[in-house]
Amino acid sequence: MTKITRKDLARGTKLTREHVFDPLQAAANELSNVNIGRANLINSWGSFRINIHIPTLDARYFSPVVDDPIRFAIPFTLPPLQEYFSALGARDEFTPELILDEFQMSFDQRAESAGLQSNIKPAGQEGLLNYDALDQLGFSVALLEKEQWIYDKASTNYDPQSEIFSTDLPAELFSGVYSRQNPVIVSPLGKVLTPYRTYMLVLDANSLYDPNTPITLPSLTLSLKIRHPLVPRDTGVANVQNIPTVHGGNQSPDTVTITLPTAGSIISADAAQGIQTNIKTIDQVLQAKLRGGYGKDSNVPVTEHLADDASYEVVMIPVWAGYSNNAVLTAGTAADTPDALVAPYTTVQQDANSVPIAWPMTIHHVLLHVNHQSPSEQGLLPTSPTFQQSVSVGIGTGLQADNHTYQDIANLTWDTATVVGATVDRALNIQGSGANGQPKASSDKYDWETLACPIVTGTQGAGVGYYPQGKPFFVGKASSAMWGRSNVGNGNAGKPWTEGAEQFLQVNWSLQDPVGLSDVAAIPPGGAGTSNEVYVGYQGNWVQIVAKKHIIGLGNEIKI
Amino acid sequence: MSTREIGKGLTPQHANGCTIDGDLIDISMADLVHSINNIPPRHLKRRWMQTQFVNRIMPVPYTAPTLVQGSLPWLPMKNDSLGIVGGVLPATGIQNEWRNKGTHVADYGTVQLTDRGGYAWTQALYFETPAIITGFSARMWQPSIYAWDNDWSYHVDPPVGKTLGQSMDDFFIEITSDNPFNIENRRLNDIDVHKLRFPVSGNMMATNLAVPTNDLSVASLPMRGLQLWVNLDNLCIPLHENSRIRVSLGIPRYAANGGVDDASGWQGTANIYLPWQSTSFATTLTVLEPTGRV
Repeated sequence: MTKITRKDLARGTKLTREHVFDPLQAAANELSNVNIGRANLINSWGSFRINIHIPTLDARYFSPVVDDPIRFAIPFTLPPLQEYFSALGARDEFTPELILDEFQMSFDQRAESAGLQSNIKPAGQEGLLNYDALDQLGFSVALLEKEQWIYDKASTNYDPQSEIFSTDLPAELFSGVYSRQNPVIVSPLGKVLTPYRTYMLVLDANSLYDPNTPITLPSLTLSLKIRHPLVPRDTGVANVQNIPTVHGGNQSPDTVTITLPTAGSIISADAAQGIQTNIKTIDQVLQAKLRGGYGKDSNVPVTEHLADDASYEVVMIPVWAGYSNNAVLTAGTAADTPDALVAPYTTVQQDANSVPIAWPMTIHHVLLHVNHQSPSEQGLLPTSPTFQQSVSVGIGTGLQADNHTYQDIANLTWDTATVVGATVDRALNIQGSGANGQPKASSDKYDWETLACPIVTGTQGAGVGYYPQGKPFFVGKASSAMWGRSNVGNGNAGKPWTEGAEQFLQVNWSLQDPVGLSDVAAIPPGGAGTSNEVYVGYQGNWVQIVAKKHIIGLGNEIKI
Repeated sequence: MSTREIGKGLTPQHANGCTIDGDLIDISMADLVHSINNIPPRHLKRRWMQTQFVNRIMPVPYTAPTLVQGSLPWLPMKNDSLGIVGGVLPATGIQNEWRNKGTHVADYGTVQLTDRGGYAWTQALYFETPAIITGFSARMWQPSIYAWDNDWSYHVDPPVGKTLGQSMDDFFIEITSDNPFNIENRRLNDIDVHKLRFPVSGNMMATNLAVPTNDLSVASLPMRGLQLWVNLDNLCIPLHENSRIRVSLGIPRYAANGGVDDASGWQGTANIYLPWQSTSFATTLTVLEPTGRV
C-alpha cells in the first residue's frame, strides 16, 4: 500500500530503461499484488452514521419542575474494530481516525409552518397544528464526551467532561412559510472523535413545555455522519465466524504483466516491449475499473486490486420505543406490560426488532445502551436482586423462505449484581434530586448504562473487546454457492443454524422479575423497592452494532 | 489505442516512427504515477457504502389499565381546520392540504372522517452528497399472544368494496423527494417509491413456519397471528446532492358508522382500539453513500 515513484527525466539526462519501465513495473506490481491501498485513492474514507429516531419527544418529558433544566440524550461509543482494539484503551499511530462531518435533525411538522400539540392534551387533540407556537421550536444541541468507567472503575463521576460541538437551532429555522430548514443540517464540522470514549448527543428542548401550549416533536430524527479511513477487510475462516468458506474473504490477485525490453533492443512504441504498449497494459486495467469489496450475494471478485476495501459501520437499533404517551416503563406501571397477566407480574416481557441484511458486513462489537432517563421518576435504577434483563442479537432466516431459524451472534444476561461484569460506562444526563426531594445516592447518579454484549466464541478462538468475546461474525445474504460457512459459536455442531441463508438481523430484549415487576409496597410481594424504579427509560433502549462494512456497487451485481 | 484513463486522455501518444521526445516520455510517466497514486472514484468498480436507518414503535396494549397510547407520531395525512387548535385557519391558509400524494381510504358508512381518514408516520432525511436508496422494509407484528389484535383482514362490517375475510389493501408506503426549487410545496414532490392498494397477504412471513428450528438464546415470545413484512429491495433510486426525502407509512382510520363498527383488523370490533395500537411497527431504510475524501 505504497505510492509509486519515478526518476525525473531532466533535460540532458540519458534515457535509460529505468526511466520508463521502473514506474510501469511498479504500477503493475501494485495492481498484481492487491496492493492498491487507501494511500493510492483520492476517496480514501468511508463514512457511517449514528442514526437515531425517537417516535415522539414530547413536552411531557420536559414538564416536571426541577431545579435544573432537563435535557434529552442518547449515548453511543466508537470502539475500534477488533484488530485495532487496545485492552488498555490507548490509541496509537495505527488506530484509525474518526472525524465527525455532519449533524442533522428533523421532525414532523405536518408540512406546515406550525408546532404540533403535545399528548399532554386530551386524547384526540394530540398532533393538532398550532400556528401560534412557532417560537417554542428553538433548541440547543450538543455532542458531549466522557471518559469510560471501565478504565477507571473507582470513579463516581458520571458527567460528561467535554464538548465536541454545540449549536443553537433558533425557531426561525422551522418557521418559514416557503422555506423551512427541516431537516436542518450542520456541516462541515471536522471534529475529531476519540475511541474508548462515550459520546452523548444532547438535545435541550425545554421550550416544548408551556403550560398553555405544550407542543411535541413527532418522528424526531437525529443523525451524525462520521468518517473512518478505508481498511483491509476481514479474511480467513480461522479468523471470521460464518464467512463463506468458498473464498473465506481472501483476495486473489490480478495478473498485470509488463514486458521489459532487453539490453541493446531498439526503443519502440508499439512492439511487445514498447513504451506505448506497456502504458496501455496499465491503462486497460484502469479502464476495466479496479476491483474489491463484496457483492450482494456475499461473493468476492475473481481477482482484486484493492487492499483497503472496508470501513467502519454502526447500526443503532431501538427497542421498547414509543411505549405509551409516557414512553417510560416503571415498577408503578408494571400492570401495563405486554404480557402482564396477573399481579405481581412475573412473566417475561420482551420487545424485538429486525433489520434486513442488505450487503455483507462483519460484526466486531455489540453494545447495549440501557436507558433509565425519566424526569418524573428521577431515573431511579431497579433495585430488585431478582430483576433480570437479557438480550440476544442474531441472524435469522424465514422471510418468505423455506426455513425459519436463528443463529446467535451475541448474548448477555444481567441483574443488579452481575451488571458490573459487563459495564463499559455509566453516564448521567439529567441532573437533579430524587422524586421526593431526596437526592439519588452517589453510586447510582447515572441514568444511562453502556454494556458490552459479547460475541459468541467459535472454534476460531477468542477475539478482542471490552470484555472477553469471540472473533468477528460475518453476516450476508447469499446465493447457494455461498451457503457453506465457517464455524460459529452456539452453532449446530459448529455450523451456523442459518446455513448461510440469513436474511435479517434480529434483536430480542427481555426483562423479568420472578418475584414480580411491581413494587413491594403497592402490590406485594413485588420485586421493586418503589414504584419509581425505571425499567425502561424515555423512548427505550438501544442496541449498537459495530461492524466492518465493505465497498459495494450496483452495475452487474447479483440482486438477491 | 489511446490511453484514455492515464492522464485522462491527455497523456502523449507514442508511436513507432515518431520522435523519441524526452519531454513527452516524462509527461507520460508523470501521468502514470499520478494515475496510480491518486485513483479517482471512477476507476473503482465499487465505491458506495451502505447505511441503515432503523426505527421502532412498540405501542402499549389497548388492554393496559393505566398507560395511554396517543396517535403520535402518526399524524393525519390531510391538513384542514379540524386539525388546527381552535379550528381557525391561519391568515395565510393551509399551505399543504395533503402531506402525501395518492392516498386513499375506502368509504365507510355515512360518516367518513373526511378530515383525516389516513394517518402517516413520516421521517425526513437530508443527503448532502448524492446517494442511492436501495431498500425499505416495514415489519408489523404482534410480539405477544396477549396484546395487539390486527389480523390483517377486513371484518364483518368492511368498508365499501371490501368483503369479510379479504386481505387488507389499505396500507401504503411512500418515499418522496422535496422539489429543490419549491421545497415546502408537497404537491411538487417527486415520488420515488409509492406502494398502495396491495393485498398484504402477499407480504407475510410463511404461516407454516411459526416455530423456528432454532431460536436465539433469548427466545422470541410466541407471537399473535401473522407477521406482515414488506421488504422492498434492489430499488436503486438515485438522490441528487442536497436532497430532502420523506419516508412515510400510511394506515387508515375508519370512522364510527353507527353500525357494528368492525371494519378491519386496524380497529377491531366497535373500534375497541385505534390503528396505531393494533400492532407494532419497525422500519429500516437502506441508503448507499459514496466513499469520500478529506
